[in-house]
Amino acid sequence: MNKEGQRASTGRDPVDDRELVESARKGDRDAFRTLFERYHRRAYALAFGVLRHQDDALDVVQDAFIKAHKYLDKFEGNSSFYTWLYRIVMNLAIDHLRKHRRVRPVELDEAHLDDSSGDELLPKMLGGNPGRALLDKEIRARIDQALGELSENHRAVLVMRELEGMSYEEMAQAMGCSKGTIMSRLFHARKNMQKRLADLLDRVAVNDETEDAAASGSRA
Amino acid sequence: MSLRFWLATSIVLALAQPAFAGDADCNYIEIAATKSDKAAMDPELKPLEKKLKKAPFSAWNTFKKLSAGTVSLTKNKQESIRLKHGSASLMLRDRTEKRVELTITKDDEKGKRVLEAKPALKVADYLIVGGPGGSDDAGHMLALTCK
Amino acid sequence: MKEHDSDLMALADGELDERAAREVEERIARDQTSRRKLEGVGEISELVRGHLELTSDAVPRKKFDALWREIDKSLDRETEPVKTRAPGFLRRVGRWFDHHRSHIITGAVSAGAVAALALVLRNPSDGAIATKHGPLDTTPVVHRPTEIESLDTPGGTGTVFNLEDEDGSTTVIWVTPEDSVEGI
Repeated sequence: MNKEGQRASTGRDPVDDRELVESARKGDRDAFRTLFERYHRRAYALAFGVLRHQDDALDVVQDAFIKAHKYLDKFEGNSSFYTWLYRIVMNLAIDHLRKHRRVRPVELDEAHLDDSSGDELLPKMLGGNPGRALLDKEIRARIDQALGELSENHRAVLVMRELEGMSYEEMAQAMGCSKGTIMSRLFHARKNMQKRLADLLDRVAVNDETEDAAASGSRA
Repeated sequence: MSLRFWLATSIVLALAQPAFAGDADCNYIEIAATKSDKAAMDPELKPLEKKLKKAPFSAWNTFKKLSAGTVSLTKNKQESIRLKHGSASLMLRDRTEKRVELTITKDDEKGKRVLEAKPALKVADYLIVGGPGGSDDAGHMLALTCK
Repeated sequence: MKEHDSDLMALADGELDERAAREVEERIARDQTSRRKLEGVGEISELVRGHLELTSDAVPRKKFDALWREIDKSLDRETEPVKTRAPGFLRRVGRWFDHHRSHIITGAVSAGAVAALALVLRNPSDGAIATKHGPLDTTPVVHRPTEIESLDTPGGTGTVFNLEDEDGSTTVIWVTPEDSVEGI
């Protein structure tokens, strides 16, 4: 779980992006289009992760690219273009949540979470390979449902962390809160996801017993 | 009509001739996917490397080419592909300059049909057909691209 | 949130300095439960990230093409006021047109005739595909992902994914035998 490695995988050669940004600043629409082609899906995944609504996420992506173009002069090149862009996306997504709530917000105060089963992380649930679980439609539907049931703040930090590998400090800045609050939200977001997927444990228990039996047989 | 007009017309006609003869050449790669202590990617899988690092293939970290080849397809003629594990067949149903319409079948090692599909794919795009591999947690895939 | 578990989470997220990370790793080496909790964090990460990536890849290309068109129009509107501010520009264009009217009309008619001829002589199946699958998209970059016209997976379940990257589309058909559950 290397956040730098994860960050590196989200963007292209930063020098390449800087050249495109430079051209776009001078009015080269094709250069800006290339930046759009490179990053629109990632930006969408981020917005959708937070907003959970396709049209809202598309609106945010549209606004983000328009805003990015408008403020290209302010992009100093200290971070990659995508890092700069995703901050715009996150700000717009969080603003959108505040302005256009589709559902009454779930209690956002961490002290009142529906976390009655203690304050510990759960152990690894799936006996097999988590990536392979994504091939199962039922499991994907459950993940989707579980994400939808998280509070907006919990979902936002989970998406920022898991999709973009943002540090606690970066997330704190993006959400305008303390690092401690971010850690608490992230902890509870993960815990709540684990709880909501926990009934998969029943199927896992059978496989774990089989694996243990096979392992002791091979040791004999 | 001026001479210039007819010259322009003849140029347009020459460019309008299709660049293909109604056949298709399809490259295929059979891939074994496993999870090991150390990640490895067969150098011959380079064109697919970016795709194989994304979900759902992120389930594995070691990818090995089992077999590969090119199949030349003519319309409505089925061509068989012998794989290391099982077999497949391809048939060209139709094509345009940019898209090919195929019928693809895949059989397992016991000769049991596991898939029959009719995809219409864009030239140079990939189609990957896969399923669990022979051993626990392994994956077995057939990647296909046509031109 | 127990302090021990918050350390595990911070370790998984690469937030601990070298010394703190080493201490936690030593603790994990002695404690199976902590190790499995650490793996649990990694597991949720992989599930959430993979799910979100696949969800975004499932959005059809044409939606993003339409998105770009809106962005493009918006950017044009931003620059429009600058272009039309040039004094007398329209008048200059009008005067130029008046001067070259006959040449312009001849050129336009010839170009239109050639274009019409090119359309008529185009491969008819291109048009058939375009109309069969919806209106023709005239944007410069057009990608229609693979379409699966039929899919049969005897004795199993077929799941179709569409992956997009800078090199184009990849369609995945994953067949899961009926007697297995992926990931377990």
